[in-house]
Amino acid sequence: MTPADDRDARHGLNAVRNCFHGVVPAVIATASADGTPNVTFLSRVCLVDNERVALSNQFFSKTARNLAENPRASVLLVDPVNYEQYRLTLVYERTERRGPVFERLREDVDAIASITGMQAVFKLRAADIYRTVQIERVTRGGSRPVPPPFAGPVGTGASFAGMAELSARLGRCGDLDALVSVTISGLAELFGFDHTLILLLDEEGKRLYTIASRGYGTEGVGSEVIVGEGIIGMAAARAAPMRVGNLRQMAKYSRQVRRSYEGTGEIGPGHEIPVPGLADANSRVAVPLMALGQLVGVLVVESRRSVAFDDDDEALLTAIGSVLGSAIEAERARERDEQASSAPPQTASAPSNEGVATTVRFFAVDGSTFLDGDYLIKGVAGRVLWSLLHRYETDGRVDFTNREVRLDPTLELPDFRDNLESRLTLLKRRLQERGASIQIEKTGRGRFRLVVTTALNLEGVDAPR
Amino acid sequence: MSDIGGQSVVDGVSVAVMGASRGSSPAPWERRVRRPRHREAPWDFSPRKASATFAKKFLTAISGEFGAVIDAETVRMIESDVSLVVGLVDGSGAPIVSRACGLNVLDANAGTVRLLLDAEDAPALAELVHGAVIALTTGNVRTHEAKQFKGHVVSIEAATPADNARAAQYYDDFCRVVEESDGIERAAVERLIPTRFVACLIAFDEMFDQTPGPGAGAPIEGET
Repeated sequence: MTPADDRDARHGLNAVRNCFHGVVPAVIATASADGTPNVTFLSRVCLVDNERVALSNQFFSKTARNLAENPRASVLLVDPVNYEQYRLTLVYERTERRGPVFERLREDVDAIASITGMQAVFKLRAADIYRTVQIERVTRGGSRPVPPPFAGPVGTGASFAGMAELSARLGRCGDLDALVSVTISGLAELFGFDHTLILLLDEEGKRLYTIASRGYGTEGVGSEVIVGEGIIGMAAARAAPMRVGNLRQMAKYSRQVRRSYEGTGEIGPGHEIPVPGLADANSRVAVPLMALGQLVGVLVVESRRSVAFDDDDEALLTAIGSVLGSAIEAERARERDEQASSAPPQTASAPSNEGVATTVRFFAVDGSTFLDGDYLIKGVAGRVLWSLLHRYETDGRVDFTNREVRLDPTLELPDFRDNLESRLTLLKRRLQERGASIQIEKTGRGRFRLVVTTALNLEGVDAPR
Repeated sequence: MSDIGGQSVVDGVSVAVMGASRGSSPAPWERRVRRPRHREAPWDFSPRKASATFAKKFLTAISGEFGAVIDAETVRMIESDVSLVVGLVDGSGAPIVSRACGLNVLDANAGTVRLLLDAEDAPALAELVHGAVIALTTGNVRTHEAKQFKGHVVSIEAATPADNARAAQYYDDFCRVVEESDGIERAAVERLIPTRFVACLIAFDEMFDQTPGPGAGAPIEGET
């Protein structure tokens, strides 16, 4: 027995807990009563406690039959940090179809299913619980150097000082635009989270839209995620954090399972759910932004590294999510209160613009708006822009208040939780990102100015004028 | 090896490995037909049934009557950069999982392959004897497509220089695809590479689709 073997055995499964992230596919062997072995790959082995693991039961037809006859299994696991390999000798204990272990495993299975949109067919049937009777280290290449371990999570974990500093910065923010900007920059400066997205829930509670991001080629403002789809959508649907450290493996597995289902005709051809963020992300944490128990949005942090985030990072981001969610909701409430008593806007004449005109094409059916043929935005934000430009063209108006925009019946805003400030912030950021000839500038609390630097050619398709 | 939680531990196995002094005891691969040993099996493990099934499979296989025909596409696949894992069963009926280190198909029509295994994996090697039933699963690193082959061990031999070169080539290919597909550096994968190998001649007589999905575990018809 090597010292490593002894250490692993004495500490049980907690000593090898890194193996349970699923970065390297596990392998399981079982045997039938007549002594015929069966060996197959596993997408994930779930740690239950220091002595037990759980395996998801979806396709284990032969494995399940073997276990009914001969309740023993042998599993290979690889630690994705130091690439130590372990062989576990397991004895089947029980099958669970409800309870916390089942729910945890179901979360994993649902996350895989959500990548390719097959939640309707790819579901956890049961969680099989095994007791571990032996842990054996079977790493080879002993003379080879141990690869350098990860430098730890990219964030600094439970950094109370960083959290205090970020909270103080958020407390000084005067509007939503500042809140999301300060959060994104603070996460990078104070904790080292270099790839970050903030998404807000839409008025109908069905979609999330990206309002701010950092660390991507393009800011991606306005990209959307349907609630319940993908890791981000699931964090929103469950109002609970989601953390994965093996996105590439999950995506590969999900694509293959989907192809298999398509082959049987159980589901038709589909596609991978597009997700804003890093195309080659391997780790992702998505935490809900909560206020008064209600979902406001989702904060997402990503990395190209495997298992880049740990429990401390998730806890830190969850705390930040609560602070940010409450701050956003408080800002919205304050804006609504102030606008109820706001003075009418001062108006300024639109400057005369010459030269090449910018063509704005608007589709009333969904609010899709294009500038010179390039997509800009859709939905409420698109309708807001169309309304503003219409007034600019007909009345020469450039100064507006949120209140008068909110009262515009053509926008069809809901009476409650209209998120107008969020939509204006989204619109402002999209116009900035595009370097458009139309910009929005804040001129005070609940006030803004439309800055247009070219002549406009407005083309509405079934649009109100 | 050791135990945890006060539970019973699979019997320790002492085996000779390539290059080690074996004294007068035969090496594991020099032992003859495996007899399932009924040590402790409170569950439904039946040595008699196991012996009968094994004998049937072994006799039909050595007669050449039912050897698996491995088609050209499958040959190309299993000789490439796929992940290779094997399942064996010890004398008490307990399964043992291990990794393989490359293979060559010797006769596609007879379903015979020369499989390279870790010479330091004592528990697996202890069961790798003439006639032992073995399962091999090959997994495509890029797509997770997988196939499982089941058959029996015909012979175990010391690895030749050609075998060592084959293993080196296999790990070159495997490390490359893992790095491309999963972003895992070669230095990390090298931690899993054995330093010594044994060669195992296997005759396969069954093939299964092991690709994850609703069809996982289905026999591949027309090839057995």
